[in-house]
Parts: sequence; C-alpha cells; structure tokens
Amino acid sequence: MRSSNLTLRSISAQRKVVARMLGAMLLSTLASVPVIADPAMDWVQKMSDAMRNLNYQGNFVYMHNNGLEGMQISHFKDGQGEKERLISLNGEAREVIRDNQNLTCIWPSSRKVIVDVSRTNSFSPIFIPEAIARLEKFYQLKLVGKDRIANMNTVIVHIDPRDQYRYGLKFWINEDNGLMMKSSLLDENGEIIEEVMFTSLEFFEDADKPLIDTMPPIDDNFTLVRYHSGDSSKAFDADHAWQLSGMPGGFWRESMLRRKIPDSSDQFVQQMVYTDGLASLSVFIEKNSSLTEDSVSSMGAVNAFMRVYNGHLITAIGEVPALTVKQVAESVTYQPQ
Amino acid sequence: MKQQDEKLSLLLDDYSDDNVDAVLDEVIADVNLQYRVRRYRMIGEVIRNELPAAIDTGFHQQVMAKIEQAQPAAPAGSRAANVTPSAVPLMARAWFRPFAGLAVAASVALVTVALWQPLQPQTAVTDDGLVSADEQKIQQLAGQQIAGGAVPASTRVQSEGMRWKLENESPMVQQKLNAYLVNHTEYSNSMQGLIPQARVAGFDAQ
Repeated sequence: MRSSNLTLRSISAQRKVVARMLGAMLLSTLASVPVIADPAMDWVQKMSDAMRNLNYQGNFVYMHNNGLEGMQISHFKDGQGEKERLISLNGEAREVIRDNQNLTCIWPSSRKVIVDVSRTNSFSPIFIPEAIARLEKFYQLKLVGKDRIANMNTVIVHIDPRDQYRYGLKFWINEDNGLMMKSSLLDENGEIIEEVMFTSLEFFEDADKPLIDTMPPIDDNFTLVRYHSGDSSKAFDADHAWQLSGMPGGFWRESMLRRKIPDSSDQFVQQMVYTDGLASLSVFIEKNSSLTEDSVSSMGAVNAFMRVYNGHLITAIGEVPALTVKQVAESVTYQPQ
Repeated sequence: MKQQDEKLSLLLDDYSDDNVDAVLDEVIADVNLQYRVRRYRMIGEVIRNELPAAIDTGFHQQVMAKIEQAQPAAPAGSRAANVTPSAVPLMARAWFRPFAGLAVAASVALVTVALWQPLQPQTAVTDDGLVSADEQKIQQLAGQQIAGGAVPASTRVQSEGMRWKLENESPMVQQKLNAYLVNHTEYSNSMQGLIPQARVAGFDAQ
C-alpha cells in the first residue's frame, strides 16, 4: 500500500512538472508570435495602411541640406491599383509619376525623362506585423505627444535606433485617419537630416479625380536618360557567388535581381536590397570600366560608397549612415562554389 | 495661314487615314502649330462645355509606345539610354501614330490630350480672336491644373534641387548614382514616409 501511495505521489509530481513545462512552452510560443500591443507600433501600422489606401492630394515642404522645397502629391487608389504623382513646386518642375506599370521621372527644363518599370508595392511601403515586431530589437518606439499639422490633429511617434548603423525617425500621424502628416529623419545626434511636412491636404472619397492625369509637356526634344525595356527590364538569375558579411544586425535581404545594363548587350548589374523594416540599402554590382579608386558620396540622408573590387564596381547606397554603406560595401566578396 | 487652318481642320475634324500623316508631319515640325491645335481643341471644348472632368492620358503607355515604335530603327540594345537626335523625329511620329486609325471623335479627344497643356497667360492671349470670348473661362480652367505641368517649353529655370556631394565628380559617377537611387527607391521597402519619393522628385537630373 505504501509503495502504491509513493507511486501515486510520484505520478502526481511528474504530472505537475509536465504541466509546468507545457505552461512554460505555451508562454514561450505565445511570446514568439508577433503581437502588436504597443500603441506606438499600432500607430505606425495604421500609418502604413493609410498611406496606401487613402485618396489624397496635398502640398508639402521637403527640407534637406538646409534647403527647402515645395512639393505636391496626389495619391489615388481604385480597382486598378494605385497612382501617384509628385511634383516639385520650386525651381524646375521635377515630376515623378508612378502607377502599377511604370515609374516616370521628368525634368521639364533640363528636358530629360526617365521611364522605368514600377514595382506594384513600391508606393508607400507596407509595414508587415512581423517586421514591426522585429523592429523593437533595433529601435525604441514611443508615443511622445500630440501636435497640429496643416490644421489637423496628430500623434507623434518617435523611433530611436539602438545602434549607430541606422537613422532615427519621427512621425506625426493624423489622428483621424492615420495618414503621415510630417516625418523627420534624424542623425545619430538627433539632428534633422531630412523632413517632410504637409501644409495643406485634401482627402477624397473616390479616385475619380482629374488632377493626377494632367499631361506633362513632353515633346520630341526630351532626352531619355535611361530606360529599361525588353531585356533590360527583365530580371535574370542573380549571381549567388556574391556574398557580403558586414551587414549590421537586423537587416535581411529583401530581394536580389540582375538586369542587363541599358545600352549594352552583355553587361549586367546585380542589385541586392536589404532592409531592417525601417531603413533600407541596396548593393549594386557591375563590371567596372573606369573607376580606379573607392569613393564616397552623399545626398541628404542618402549615403553611397563605391568600391573597386576584382574588376567590379560595388556600390552600397541607402538611407543609412555613411558608416553603414562603407562597412557593407567593403565586406562584399566573390565566392564561386 | 488659311491653308494651314484648313489642314488643322482636316486633322481635327474630318481627316482620313490617307492624308493625316502629312498633316501630322507639319504639326510635329512646328511648335506653334502644336500650340494652335491645342488651343483650338481647348476652345472648342470649353465652348461646348465638354472639357473632361478626368483626362486619362495613359501617359506612360504613350511614352512607352512611342519608344517601342521607334525601336526597330535602332540597333538592338541601343534604345536604352540617351536617345540620339536622329531617332527623335521617328519618336515624334510614333507619338502621334496611334491616333491615326481611330474614330474621329475619339481621335480628336486624343489629340487634345496629347497636345493639351495647362495654358500660360502668353498662350491664352492669341491672335485668332476666338480666345478672347472664353479667355476668362480658359484661364480659370488652366488655374485648376497642377502648377508643375505649366512650365512652358522654352523656360529654363535654374534648378534648386538636391545634388550629390561627390568625392569623385566624374559625370559617370553622378549618372550611376542617380540611376541607383531611382532603382533603390523603387525596389526598397524603407518606411520613411514620403521622404524617399520626395528625394527622387527633388534631385537634379544633372
């Protein structure tokens, strides 16, 4: 009998251990599911949705390198997809028109036009919940207050990087519909590098608005700066022998493609795109014909590092600090199997 | 002038496939003629109150079609960049070509779209007399358009856009960086609000 009691006690104890283990496993599983409970993250997700789905037209200012530009954006979405038109209102009327097929950039005074293929999801990028959940490891997201932008109420979300490989961000998000009303890109010292802010904005219920379809004055004196068509718009199999080891933590490869270089018969350029969910950078690799030494370039928050390696030109470019593009470009190697 | 007007009338109202090419050649070669065609159509539509609420230009398709149609004239692969001057007339012809086989009403509308630009004050005041009658209305309509489309063909504005700060200032580097930036913006998914788009619209063609 005593032996029987001991056995029963032992079984009961084992059950408790198993139950505790199951409970712990369940908690662990739940913890790994990307649940967005943070209100700051909720607002960022809402903003991502609003920028793609709302129909709006407005003027905004774009601040960069101590310069200031007025711009106008029209964004509409209907059953056929999204359409967006962006115009510089100061100086040359630079214009970017994008629909589901094409991306067209026009410089009317310089008489240049670029027509390129457009990616379907390249309007305002989508924030996927998994990406937002991952962000916490490399950024701190917090709600820091409220403000009024273009006569509309906004909440302010501050996204602070946890290392020196990425910039910080501040979003002013429309309280009513989630549209981004203002955003600032901040360097490692918290100084503003680039900023956009709506000064007027109008929302439309439907996409039946004429202004986005007005005709830019293109004539036969325009020069086509670059144009991907046929083979040059076709993606070829990427060369997987190109490897890089210096990508900062949190970045993952989003895509890798290889295209023919326009105006050449057998020259290819490979593009590898990396993102951490907020920032992104691309690495371009092509045969080098003329550069003899590495070079650094920047424009606003965009940094680029060109490196000559093994007869190739390696360029890392993106909205990340100079340190990041340099580290990435310098880590590229060719390792054939 | 009268002969020219008759040709335009032919183009706009009552042309047939046999003679439209010749008229189009003249229109392509003469900017003033293009403006006049545009004005006529604008005026006509304003008078008839037919100005469309939404103008579906299919702009990209027209540019692409124009280039594709010009393609056979060039060696394979050479169409991709820097269209040569010799290719331009062919492109211009191709630009108009799709209009030729369409029904009159539809083609008139297309010609209007192709040549229509928001009117500048100097283009609204003309010598053809018809304009003055509806000038105010035209001005009002023109004022509704996006300002960016209103740069006259001859205007050369000192650009104030963004420029690369370059260690190596060779034009090749600049050109590559511009192309890379456009491709990067297009293929990346960075969540920085409107900044990436504004950056592309903001930088100089250089």
